[in-house]
Formats: sequence, C-alpha cells, structure tokens
Amino acid sequence: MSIRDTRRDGLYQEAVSSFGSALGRVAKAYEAEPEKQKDLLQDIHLALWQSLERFEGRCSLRTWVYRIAQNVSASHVVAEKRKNAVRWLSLEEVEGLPQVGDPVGVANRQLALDRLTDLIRSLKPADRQIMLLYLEGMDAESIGEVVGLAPGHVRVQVHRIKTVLSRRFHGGVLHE
Amino acid sequence: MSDNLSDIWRSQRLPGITISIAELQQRARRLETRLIRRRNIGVVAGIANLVVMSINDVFFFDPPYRLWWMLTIQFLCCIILFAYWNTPTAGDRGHILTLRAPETSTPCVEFYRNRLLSLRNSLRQGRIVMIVSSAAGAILAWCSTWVSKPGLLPTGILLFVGGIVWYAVIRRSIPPIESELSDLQSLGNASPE
Repeated sequence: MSIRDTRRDGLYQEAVSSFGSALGRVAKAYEAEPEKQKDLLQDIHLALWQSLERFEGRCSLRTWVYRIAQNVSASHVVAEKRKNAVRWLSLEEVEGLPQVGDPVGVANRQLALDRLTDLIRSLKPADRQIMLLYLEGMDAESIGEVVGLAPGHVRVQVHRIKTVLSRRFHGGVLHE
Repeated sequence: MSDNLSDIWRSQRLPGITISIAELQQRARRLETRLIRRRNIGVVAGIANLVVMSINDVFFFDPPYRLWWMLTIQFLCCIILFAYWNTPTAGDRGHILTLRAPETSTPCVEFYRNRLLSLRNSLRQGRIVMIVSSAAGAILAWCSTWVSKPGLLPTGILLFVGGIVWYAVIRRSIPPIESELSDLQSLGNASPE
C-alpha cells in the first residue's frame, strides 16, 4: 500500500468518526425510502473515500466532507426526479405559502423532526443544501465555502430560513 | 437548548453504516468494471453499425430495401446506445456511475449547475435524434407508396410516431431544467475552493 493510499484511508477514518452522523442526516434529508437512503449513504461513503485522494487541505476536512455528501445527494435527487415528477419549492415559495394548521412546538421533538424533514425534502436542492448546513450549525461563511456562494447571499437565504422556521415551529428560532 | 431545532436535527439517532476500506476498494473496482462495460457496449454498437452499413453497401443494391435495412439497424443501435448511456442517470443508483471523482468536491452550486446543464444537453441531443428518427420514418412511409416491400410502411409509421411521441416527452422535460438553471444564475456565481 502506498503512502498516498495510507493517507487517504486515514483521512477517511477521521472524516467518518467526526462526520459519520452528519452524513446519515444528509442522506435522510434527500431520500425518504429507508432502503434507498441506505444506498445513498453507501454511495456518499464511496465517493468520499475516492475523493480524499485529491484532498490537499486547501479547505477544511469538514467543508470537503459536506461538499461530497451534498453533491452526491443532489445528483441522486436529480436522477430520481427524472423517474418521479415531483415539484420542489424554493425558500421564497415556502415563505409565501399560507400557514396550514398550528405551528408545531419544538417540545414535541419527534413531530417537529418529522415536519422539519418533510420541509427540507420539499425544497429545491440549492435551498435544501443551505438549510441543511444551517441546521448542522454552520455559519454563513462556512456555508458559503461549501456551496460556493458569497456569504452575503447565504445570509439572505439564512434570514429566509429563519422566517420559515419561526412561522412553522414554536420556539424554533435558531442560533446564528 | 432542548427548544432549538438545530439541536433536535443534530441529535437524531440514525442507523450509521460502517464500510471497511477493503469493501470500499472492492466497490470502487466494481464501479470501474461497470464503467468499462458501458464503454465497451457503446463501442460494440458503433462497430456493429459500421459493419451493417458496409454489408448493406456490398450486398443490397435495391435502394428502398437498402434504406429500410440501414435505418432499422441504425435505429436498433441507437436504442442500445441510449439504453446503456442513459440508464446511469435514470436507473436505480446509476447516477453514481456518472460522477467523476474530481467534480464531486466542487462547490455545491457549481456542481448542481453542471449536472443540470449536462442533463439539459443530453435531452436536447435526444430531441435531435427523435427529429431525425421521425423524418426517417416519414421517408420510409412515403417510399412504401411506390415500392411494395413487406414491413416498410409499418416500420415507417412506427419510427415516425415513436419519434414524435418521444420528442414531445423530451420537450416537456426541458423547461423545468431551464427554470432551475435560471434560479441558480440568480443566486450568483460559484467560487472555486
């Protein structure tokens, strides 16, 4: 085994131990069916392992891992969309939708989580990526680095996310 | 922080997966094999097409019959090529085959835009193939009015109608992609790492 392979394997182990759960959450946010979700997660792991051969440390490992996970997942949903005609919404459209039913209290964790997951899955991939990264606790600069947008653009989107979440969930205002 | 959605999101208990390095290597090899097989099938279909055209030139001198033979075989070759080249984006998990390692680490907006562009371009190419197919069908059907060859008219009608229907299906798929691309454009240009 070459030094390059050893380095890649080491980076992969580090990425999985630090961001393994986050990869699972990304797969869940993009695929509802449990079997397909598992397949998607395996594809993410494979793509991540393959990509780490080219990781040169020009960005953080976290940025790299999230990019791979989001890109593989986006490719998955684009492929799925060709089979099932689903219509995704933009954050602006979700913001403009009338409120259906009472907002869910975050005290009811499972219900809040189910509603949140449904909301994320209904979004267009570009908006979905920003919302997911925001929920993962990343700031605008870090999100911008992962998705390739200026922090200013990300802040506008984050503001929309906060508005949508606070309308739909009691006490759902998130930290910056 | 129990009232925080972000904390709720991150505290999810999901069944994780453990993939050993040996298994990842095996999967990568399998993926490589599938890619090579796809490429080979494309090459074989292309060679078959050339061989059939050559045989056609050597053995068949009756123009309408030559046309019918050539178009039928070419149509079959196109179906094979389309089935193997399009399946990876349409079939289960096939999308992973179309991902090239260098592009997976590009910023997400740029990656997504590139995927949409490639999908739109493949649909546009498919649209041209369908126009050619229906035009060929129309020519065959027209030939059948003055040449009596069994199967000429049904083949012509099949090609014509099939081409028109697929053209319509493909045409409907392009505007949503264009609209998505325009939304991405408004988000701003992706910056490199």
